[in-house]
Amino acid sequence: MPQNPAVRALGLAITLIGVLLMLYSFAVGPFRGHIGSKEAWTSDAISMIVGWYFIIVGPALYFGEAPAKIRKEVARKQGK
Amino acid sequence: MATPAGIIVISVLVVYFLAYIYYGKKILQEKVVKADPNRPTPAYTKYDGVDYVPTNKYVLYGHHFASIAGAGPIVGPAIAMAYGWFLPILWVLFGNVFIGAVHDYLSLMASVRHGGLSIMSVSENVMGRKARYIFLLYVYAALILVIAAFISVAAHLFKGIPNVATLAMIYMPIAVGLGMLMYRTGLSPRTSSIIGVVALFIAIAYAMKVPFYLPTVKIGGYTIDQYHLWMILLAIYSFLASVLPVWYLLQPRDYLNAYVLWSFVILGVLGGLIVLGKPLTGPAYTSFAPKIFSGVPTPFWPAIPLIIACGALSGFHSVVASGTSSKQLANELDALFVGYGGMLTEGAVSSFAVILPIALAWHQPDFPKLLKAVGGVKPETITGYVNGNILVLDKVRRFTFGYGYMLGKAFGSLTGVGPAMVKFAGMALASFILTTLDTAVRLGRFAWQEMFDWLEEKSRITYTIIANRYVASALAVIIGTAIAYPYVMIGGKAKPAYNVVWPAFAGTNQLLAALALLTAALWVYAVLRIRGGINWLIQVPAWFLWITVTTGLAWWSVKVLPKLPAVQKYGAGSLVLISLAIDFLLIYLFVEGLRRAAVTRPAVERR
Repeated sequence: MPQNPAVRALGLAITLIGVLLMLYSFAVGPFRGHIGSKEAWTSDAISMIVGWYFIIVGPALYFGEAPAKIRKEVARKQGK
Repeated sequence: MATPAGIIVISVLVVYFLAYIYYGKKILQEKVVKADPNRPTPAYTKYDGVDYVPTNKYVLYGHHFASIAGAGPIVGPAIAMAYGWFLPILWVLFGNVFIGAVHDYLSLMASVRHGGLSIMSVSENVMGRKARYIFLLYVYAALILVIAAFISVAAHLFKGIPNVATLAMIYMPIAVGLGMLMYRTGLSPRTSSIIGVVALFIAIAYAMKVPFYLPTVKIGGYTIDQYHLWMILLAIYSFLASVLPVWYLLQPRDYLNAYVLWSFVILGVLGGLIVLGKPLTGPAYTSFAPKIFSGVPTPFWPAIPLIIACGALSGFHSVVASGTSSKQLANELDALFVGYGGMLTEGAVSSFAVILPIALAWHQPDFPKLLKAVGGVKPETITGYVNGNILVLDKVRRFTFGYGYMLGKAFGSLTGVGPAMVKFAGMALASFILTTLDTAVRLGRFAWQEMFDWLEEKSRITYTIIANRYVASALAVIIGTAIAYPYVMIGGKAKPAYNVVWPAFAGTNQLLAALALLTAALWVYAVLRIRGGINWLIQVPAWFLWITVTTGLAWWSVKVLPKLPAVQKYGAGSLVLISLAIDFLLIYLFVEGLRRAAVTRPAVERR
C-alpha cells in the first residue's frame, strides 16, 4: 500500500532534520575532543540523541514498510 | 613436549569442514529435512514487509550470526580454560557439530515448515497444546531476563567506554542507510555492502577518537545518572528497532556487524596459522574439577554446558532461528548456511579467538610487555602472571589480551599490533553484545503474540489491542527495563535488580536448548518420519544434552546455590526450581508425543 503523502512529508522532514542534527554533532566533536559532557547537557549531545532517533524513524515513515523491489519478487514467486 | 598451536588450528578446520559437508549437507539437509528449493518459505507465503521478508542468504547469515552471538562464545571458554585447553576445545567441537548446529538448523527448518512459528509453537504439533503454552511462557520469561541483562550491560558499556557509545550512535544511521541502498535503490548488494563497510570503518576510526558523554540529570529532585540515562535511551531505541521492518534496520545492522565479527574471526584464524609451529604454553589438562563457580570444585561433567554456552550450544539460538531468521529465509537450501554454518562460526570464535590465544599466551616471558604496552593493568596482576599464569586476569581480559598477544606475535609486533588487537577484541565483544538487545525485544514480541493467538478467534479486537506489535514490544521493553533499572544490595554490593535471578540464567537457557532440541528431534521422528541410524544420530545427542543439563542444574542447586548471597539464593533458587518443574512437565509431554508418534500415521505439516 503506498504511503500516505502527509506521513511521507513528515518522514522526509524528520530525516532531514535528523541528518543535520547529527552532522552538527559530528562536526563539533573533533574540535572539542568529545561529544557531550559529564557535567551538563550540551547542544551537541542533545543534537546527537534527537538526530539519532529521527534518523532511525524518519526514513521508515518516508519510505513505508514494504520495498517495491521485494514486493514484486514475492508477487512473482507467488504467481500473482 | 608442548603441543604446537597448529594442532588446534588444523583439527578445528578439518572437523568443521567435514561436519558442514557430511553431517550438515549430506545428512541433515538431504536425508532428514529434504530441503526443497522450490517449496515456498513463510517469507513468501506470509510476506508482510515487516517481519516476513525474503532475504539474501548472506544478509540473513549476518543477521543470524550477529544475533546468536552474545558474550557467551567469548566469556564461557575464557572461564573454562581453568580445565586446560583440551576439554573446552573438545566440548566446543562435539557440542557444535552434534548438538548446537543441529539444534539451530532443525529449529530453523521446523519453524519454516510451520509457517515461521517459533519452536515453542511447533511443539504443539508433536507434544500437544499444553506443551506449547508452557514452553512459550518459559521462553518469554527467559527473553525478559535477556533484555534486562543486555540493556544493563550495554548501558554500563556506554558509560564506561564512551567511544563505544559514539560508535553505536553512528552505526545505526549507517545501517539504515545501507538498508535504503540495498532495498530502495538500484544498487547491487555488493556495491551497497562496500559503501556500508567503508562508512563503518570510517565511523570506527572517528569513534576511537571522539567519545560521547552524557550528564547526570536532575528532574524534580530525582537524579538520573549516566548509567540509568543510557538505559532509558536504549529502552526507547530497542522499542523502535523492534517495531520497524526487519529489512530497514535489523538486517543491515547485523549484516554490517557480521563484517566486523568476520574480520575478528579471520584475523584469529590467520594468526593461528602464522603461529602454527609455536608451542602452547597452557596445559592441555589441569583438573576434572577446578574451582570455578563460587570457589566450588566444578566437575567438567555435568557443569560444562553451564559454563560454555553459545560457543557450543545455546537455547537462545532456537528462539532466534525460529523467530526472526525463519521469517526471512528465502530458500530452504539457504538454511544450512544460515543455521548450521552460523553455529559453526560461533564455535570458530570460541576456538580461534579465545581458546587458542589463551592457551598460547598462558605463560610467556614476553606477555608482560603487552600488559604494560596496553596500560591500565595493576602491577600486582603483572607479578601474578609472571609467578602464575593468564588465569590471574579476569575472564574478559584473558580473551582480549590473549587475542592481542597471538596477533602481536603473528604479525611481528607485540607492542604495536598487540595493543591495537586488544582494543579490537574489546570492540568485537561490544558488537556481539549490542546486536542481541533489540533482537531479543523483537523475539519477546513474537512470543507474546503467539501466546495470545487463541484469543484471535474469540475476540479479534481484544487480540489486536493486547498483541499488536507496538503493545507487545513496549511490554517486553518496559518489563525488561523495570527489572534492570533499580539497584538492590547483593552480598553487600549495589547491583541492578535482575542480578537477583541472573546466576540461574545459564542453566535455564541451556535447559531451553535441551527442550528445543528434543522438540526438533521429535519433529524429525513424528512429522518427517525419519527412522533408523539417522534418527538415533539426532535423538542420542538430544537426550545426552537433556540429562547433562538437568543433572548440571541439580548439581548447581545443591553445591553452588548455598554459597550465593541470601537474596540470590532465594531469587535464583526459585527460578531454578520453576525451570526444573517445567522441564519435567515438558519431558513427560515429550515422551507421550514420542509414544503417540511411534504408533500413529504421520502428522500433517502445516504451511
